[in-house]
Amino acid sequence: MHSAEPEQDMATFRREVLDFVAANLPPDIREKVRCNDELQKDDHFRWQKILAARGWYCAHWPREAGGAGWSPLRRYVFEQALAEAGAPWMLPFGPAYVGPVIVEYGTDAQKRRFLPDIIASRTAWCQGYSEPGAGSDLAGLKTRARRDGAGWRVTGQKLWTSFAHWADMMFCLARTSDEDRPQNGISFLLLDMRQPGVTIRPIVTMDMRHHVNEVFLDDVFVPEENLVGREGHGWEIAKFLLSTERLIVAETGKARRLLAQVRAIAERAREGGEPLFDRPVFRRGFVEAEIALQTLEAYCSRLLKRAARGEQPGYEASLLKIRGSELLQTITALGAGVAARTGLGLDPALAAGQNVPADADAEMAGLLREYLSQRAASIYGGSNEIQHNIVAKARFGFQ
Amino acid sequence: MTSPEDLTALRDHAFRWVDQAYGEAKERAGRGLAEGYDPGMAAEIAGQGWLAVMVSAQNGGMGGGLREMAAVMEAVGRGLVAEPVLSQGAIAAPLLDRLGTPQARQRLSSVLDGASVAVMIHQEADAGFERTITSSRLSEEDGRFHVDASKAPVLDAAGADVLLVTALDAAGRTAIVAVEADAPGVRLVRSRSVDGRMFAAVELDHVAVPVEAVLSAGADASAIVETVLEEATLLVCAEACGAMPILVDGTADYLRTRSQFGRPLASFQVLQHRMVDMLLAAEEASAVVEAALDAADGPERKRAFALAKIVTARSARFVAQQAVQLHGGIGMTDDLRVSRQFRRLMQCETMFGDADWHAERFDGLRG
Repeated sequence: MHSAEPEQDMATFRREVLDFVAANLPPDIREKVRCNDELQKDDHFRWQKILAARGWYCAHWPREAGGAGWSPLRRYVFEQALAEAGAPWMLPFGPAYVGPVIVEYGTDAQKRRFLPDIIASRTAWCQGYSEPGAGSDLAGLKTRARRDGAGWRVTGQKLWTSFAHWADMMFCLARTSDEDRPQNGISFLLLDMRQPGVTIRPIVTMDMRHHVNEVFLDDVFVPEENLVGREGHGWEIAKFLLSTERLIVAETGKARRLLAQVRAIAERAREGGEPLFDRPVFRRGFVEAEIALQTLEAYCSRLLKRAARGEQPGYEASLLKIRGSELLQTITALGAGVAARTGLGLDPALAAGQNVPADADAEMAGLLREYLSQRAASIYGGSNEIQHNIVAKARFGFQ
Repeated sequence: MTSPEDLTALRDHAFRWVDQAYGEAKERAGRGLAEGYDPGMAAEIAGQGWLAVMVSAQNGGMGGGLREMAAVMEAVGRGLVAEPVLSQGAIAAPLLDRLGTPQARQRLSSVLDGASVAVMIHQEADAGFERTITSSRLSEEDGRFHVDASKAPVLDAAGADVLLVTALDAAGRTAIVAVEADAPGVRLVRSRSVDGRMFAAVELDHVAVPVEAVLSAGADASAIVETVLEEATLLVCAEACGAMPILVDGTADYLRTRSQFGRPLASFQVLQHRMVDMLLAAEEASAVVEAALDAADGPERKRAFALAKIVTARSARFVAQQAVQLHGGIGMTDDLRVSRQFRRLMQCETMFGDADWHAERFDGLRG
């Protein structure tokens, strides 16, 4: 990790990222992001490869793993600038989740086999954590891995599995033994999705999109070499994974872009003949969202400065998660408020004789869909109530 | 500017001093006195250099900046120091230092050695939180100067011997005039504030002053006044940031020791979550103050300062109210420090503009 990175460098780097996106993001993808249209797997992979060609994909990995050894600060600046510039959200499952786990806990063979395929966008991953009976209480998971020769047979049901329908591989938590505590006896397994016994059932969420799935595993084989870390010690790895993600949870770059979009559509929208943006009560709501955004940015900067001095965040990550999710919900609610004046249209209206929706309508519909999908932000990754429990225990020692 | 190590040392030293040398008895020592603080303690504080932190080395100061004074103000909030640190070290001293005229420097040296308490008297009686002056006048007839003004109540003015009064001269420039508090035509309307400290509204009815009392010496001091007020606003936020963690940890301790329904209050999830929200509020305030201290010069800096006050004011109110709530009835009592922290935080929340006033500024400063 770099110990000191002058702020000036970061400002220059941020500019460089914004310019790169402006020059290299394919226009069709840019348009989809602007209107929050559904991105396809190919859209994501095309963009990942463009970033990889620049050396900016998985760059936060250590050099020996194929990354550029970026500091948390550089990575944060990079990801926020990408989002602010209108680049697609980065699928985290390979580069941010399983990649760092393999770097930390994987064998040399696992590193050789899996990491280059992530960097080259040859493999798509998904995360098999939640189950019907194990949501907030993840340790209550019931998916079972039964010893079978040189591996395991996995049987169970995973739920809310994002982009399982695109995935070649799943990293999953499965119970390899029953122990005194539910956290013990869980193993971290890498499971090939392209084999018999894996059934994926789509779930349409209230934004009328298909991101998440149910995944049924029926006697699915996982070879021994796909166990990461020690058998029965998967919980520790799951916690490590959370810790590597700590400072990235607050999507301030995306929030900045969405807030600018809300402003633009509220300046165009009319209320009693004047711009909605100039109506005092609407403006007050907008100012509150701006205040929340800049406060979150200030908090991120503070924690990143501390991280640069070697003080790694602990409970603060949970606080970021709480505020980060609230912020996206607040901003998109403003967008939904504008859309409410024209009937909450989820599919943008088409002008007569045209098949392209009006700009403002398309952006409004996008914000509305985002409002609906962002309800998940305070639920996934440990609900905001669970984050409160975590902080109460970690910071105050409350039981 | 001092080095990061010196800054840490300054902060640690100030925190240690309030924790060990300044206690609840000292905090309340000035309650019955006309000044609202203990003058002996005020001299001791001047003696340890807190008032000279922001003053340039050439004027006998430490040559520090906002960052250094913010560390001192955090200590003031932490220990509920009642003596005039904000009005002297964060306002009068930097004001006189920035003016830099010989007469201002002379006044400054009396402030720094504790011989004089000089309080800036700026806001007009009907201005609310607005910072422009319109009716305060400095007039000149036949080489004789007079000041007429009706000013709003100001912290520590009751104990001041010198009033640093802002007034518009015939050319519309902002002048700073040093007026002796006991000069004929000066009327101080004293009031005790919620936190026990003394305020005074100052009425100046054609008060005659000698030419050397005009510290700005013909220059327009409006930019200096604006800067001093802007920085004082951030410093009062720093004071709140010093007080909030004490309330957070004090309340958590109370929840661990107090039992109801046969178990510690700390075991109730609703109270645990409330504590987390208090912690988050306190951390956000520290973060926005730090961001304002880090902000580079330019339009975004003004916005960062406004943001600091908005967030700190709201956090201060939330943390203080919830601290009282979680303590229950005992939190209402004057005897428990919680209620005194509550009242000091009311001052920090509203002095130099409350959250709403700064939110309007924040909105107006958008690019």
